[in-house]
Amino acid sequence: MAARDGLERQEEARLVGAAQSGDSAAFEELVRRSAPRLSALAYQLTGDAEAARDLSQEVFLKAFRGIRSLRSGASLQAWLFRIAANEAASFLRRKARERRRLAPAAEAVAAGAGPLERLVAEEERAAVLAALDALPARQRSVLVLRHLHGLSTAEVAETLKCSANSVKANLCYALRFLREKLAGGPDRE
Amino acid sequence: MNECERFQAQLGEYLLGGLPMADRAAFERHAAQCPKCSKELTATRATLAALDRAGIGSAPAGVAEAVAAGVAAKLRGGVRPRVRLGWLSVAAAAACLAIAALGVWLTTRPPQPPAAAQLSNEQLDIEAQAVEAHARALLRQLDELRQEHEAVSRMMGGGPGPQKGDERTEGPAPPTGARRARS
Repeated sequence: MAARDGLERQEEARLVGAAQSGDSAAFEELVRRSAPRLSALAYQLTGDAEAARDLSQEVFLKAFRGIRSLRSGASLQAWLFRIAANEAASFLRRKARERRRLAPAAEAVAAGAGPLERLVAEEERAAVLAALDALPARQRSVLVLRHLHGLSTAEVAETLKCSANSVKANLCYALRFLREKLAGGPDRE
Repeated sequence: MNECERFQAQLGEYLLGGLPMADRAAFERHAAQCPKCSKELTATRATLAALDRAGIGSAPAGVAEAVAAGVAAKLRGGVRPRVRLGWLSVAAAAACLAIAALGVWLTTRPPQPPAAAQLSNEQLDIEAQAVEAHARALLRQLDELRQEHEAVSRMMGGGPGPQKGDERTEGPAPPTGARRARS
């Protein structure tokens, strides 16, 4: 397992080096390898499949344009995740503004939801997604990277360029908020 | 920080396996003794389970493939990596610019009157001030180029230097005392 990871890292380093020399085929291979995890992260951070697709493409294109600034030995995944977290934060700010503008219409749609949405599992899923949507971007990034992607506190800190204490604090607030929100507690907005 | 506050601060790390063994025993002891904290532990565990059940572990089917195809199409459309300018390259370009500008200035300035061969001290001072002003302008351009280069490096995330909001936490002051270790 460790040997395979080592080989994969070597191959990734080779592909990064080739991409830095302008080899777009090498970068395409990196995209193919990273797309599932990156688009999962984008989906978890935005809660929207279309936004996840657009955001992931934008992250990869930004990464390709700036690939020469990636230092030798630096983690490609941490770099991609960092760009994605920044892009998602901008997306969520726009979405929050839009939501405030369209709030009455959105409530009307929810009130008229069909019977499927009333199923317990679907309700829980919707509640979880709504709670995630209401989290501040940094707390959402920390929770998603730490819990859904299994990154350690140090890895999340490296990805988001913040301290380990900041990661722990944001995780603590995120969990408390989700817990209260799912229990029907006070709304943060 | 009292026992309950410490418990709250360590709750997430405990459930995600980031609390060291040494702290886990004290954490579990407190959970067994404090009904309020025990309830919080159960509720938070249920919250994480609900998050797992929400089915957002991966993007919906087809998204990753669409991303890879979209990026490949754009790369074939001619997107290229940015040329990374090192500090020396910027300095060399600025020096070339300075030399070229000085050359242009010297060759295109109006012809001097014959008496200019013997310039007065006052005229020499004026000439010197003009050259000095020109040199200052070139140095300002060089400085702007350097700042622009640093800003681009920072924006791409691979360069040195802090980023906006690096240490930000959203909420009250961060708890202390929590340490990480996967269980």
